[in-house]
Amino acid sequence: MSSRILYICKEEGLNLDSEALSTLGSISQGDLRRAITYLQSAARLFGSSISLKDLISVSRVIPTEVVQAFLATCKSGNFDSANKEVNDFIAEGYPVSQFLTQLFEAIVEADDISDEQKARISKKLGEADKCLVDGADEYLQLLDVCTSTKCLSTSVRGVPTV
Amino acid sequence: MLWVDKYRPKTLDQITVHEDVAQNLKKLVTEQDCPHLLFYGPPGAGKKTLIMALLRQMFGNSAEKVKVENRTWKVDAGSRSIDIELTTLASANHIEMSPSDAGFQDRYVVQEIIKEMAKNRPIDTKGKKGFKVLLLNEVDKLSREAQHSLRRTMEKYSAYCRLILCCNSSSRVIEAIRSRCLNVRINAPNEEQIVRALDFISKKEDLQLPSGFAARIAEKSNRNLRRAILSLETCRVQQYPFSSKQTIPPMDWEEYISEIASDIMKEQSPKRLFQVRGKLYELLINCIPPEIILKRLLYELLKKLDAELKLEVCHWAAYYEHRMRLGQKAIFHLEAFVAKFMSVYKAFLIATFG
Ligand SMILES: Nc1ncnc2c1ncn2[C@@H]1O[C@H](COP(=O)(O)OP(=O)(O)OP(=O)(O)O)[C@@H](O)[C@H]1O
Ligand SMILES: [Mg+2]
Repeated sequence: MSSRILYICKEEGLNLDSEALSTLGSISQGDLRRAITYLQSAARLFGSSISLKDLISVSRVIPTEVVQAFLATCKSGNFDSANKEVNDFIAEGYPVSQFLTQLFEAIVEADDISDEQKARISKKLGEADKCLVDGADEYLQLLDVCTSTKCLSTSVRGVPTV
Repeated sequence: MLWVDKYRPKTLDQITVHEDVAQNLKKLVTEQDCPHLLFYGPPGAGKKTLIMALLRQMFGNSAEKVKVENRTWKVDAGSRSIDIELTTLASANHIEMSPSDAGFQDRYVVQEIIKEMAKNRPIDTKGKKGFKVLLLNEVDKLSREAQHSLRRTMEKYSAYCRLILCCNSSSRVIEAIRSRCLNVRINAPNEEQIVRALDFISKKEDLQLPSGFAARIAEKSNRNLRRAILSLETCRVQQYPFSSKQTIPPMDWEEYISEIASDIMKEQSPKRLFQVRGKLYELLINCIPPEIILKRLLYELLKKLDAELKLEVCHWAAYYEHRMRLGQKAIFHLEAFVAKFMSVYKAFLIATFG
């Protein structure tokens, strides 16, 4: 994939820094058409010198800092701050379906969550994803994920499973 | 004219809140070949304002000379032909509409319109055939079939028209459409930016704002700029000169939901459930979208609850909202949520106080 991207960059006279090149694959989740679309969009908006930040802003990917901050709030166990975090997240306009994917990756990689908890949280993420596909409200689904992630990972009290 | 319209920035250069986006868009149209665009972001963030300024940048003042039309399309739906009515806003260079208003027939509308636009291409001053812009609102409310049909038509006629799509929730737009557009995320302005916009309007209207007043309006607006500007105007009508303690009036329907929440907290019984049903109907009749009712009700209930119940109640709100999407009668699901809440809350009261 990166050889194809390099080829396009050469043909179009684009200058992609190494960080951007190495991340383009993961941002586009291995989908070449998506990668090319991002590249073209970034070139249109930001000119021929493209950085990772430019690519992220034209993709739907949510910056890692945002994901990490979100996860930290989830773990904190304070409902009101979790609710506020979800509210702000929606106000920023980030796509929740994309976010669930990134949250999933972050949770799988986390060292401080047990395997069993990871499995349960993943199940919850899957359910929320399905609900979103059905057109459910993004705020409510994210809040549900966030609050149950919290209570699952601290095992205070399980929300009834349906 | 309402202030929200009177003080809507007209050109990309006047746009202050999403300045960087505006400047990027400007670059985009100066390079002739503008891609399809998908704008997404929360309500009242300024999507439409940016889009209208962009159209003006593309076509000059003529983009503002719009005609409202109620049009009927005859379309061939398999075995029979049906009439579809829709309101459109059109200038010489663009057409705007919300195809999801056509309900189940939305996919025919999308096809027909684009086909028709392709036939009537405007001719620019140099005698070349130009392209038209089709602005579609609320694409996230389009059915899947309509979205797929939109995607096919997009490919077939991309030489004749540019699409500008606008929606709140981009998760509801299919990947095939998203990946054919340049995606533009419009975040809601933060409170500071809202305060600045309110200050600007107050200056133009020659109003004295007591210190902290604009900040209070901004805080109540939940980062919705339109809402904040409307509140400022309502306050102005209510009382001027402003006093620093003046209350910022909530919307009628919000107050009504807050009453419903109090009713529910006071008594959990079939009789009370029946009374609440009447009030929920009242809201639905006044065209408050059911998911908005549910979210607001949750917001009010959470204010009154102990921490340990909050999680469970949130879960049920998400659960019933999802079911509401799948079903057809919103009232059933709203009422189910209220009933569920009553039972959870009553059980909690009994466990705690006996
Ligand atoms: N950059 C800006 N500077 C000042 N005021 C603005 C700006 N952008 C928008 N506004 C004001 O905010 C109001 C809401 O903006 P707009 O109608 O564009 O929101 P929207 O994102 O299309 O919302 P919705 O999704 O609810 O239709 C406008 O009426 C306008 O007065
Ligand atoms: Mg709008």
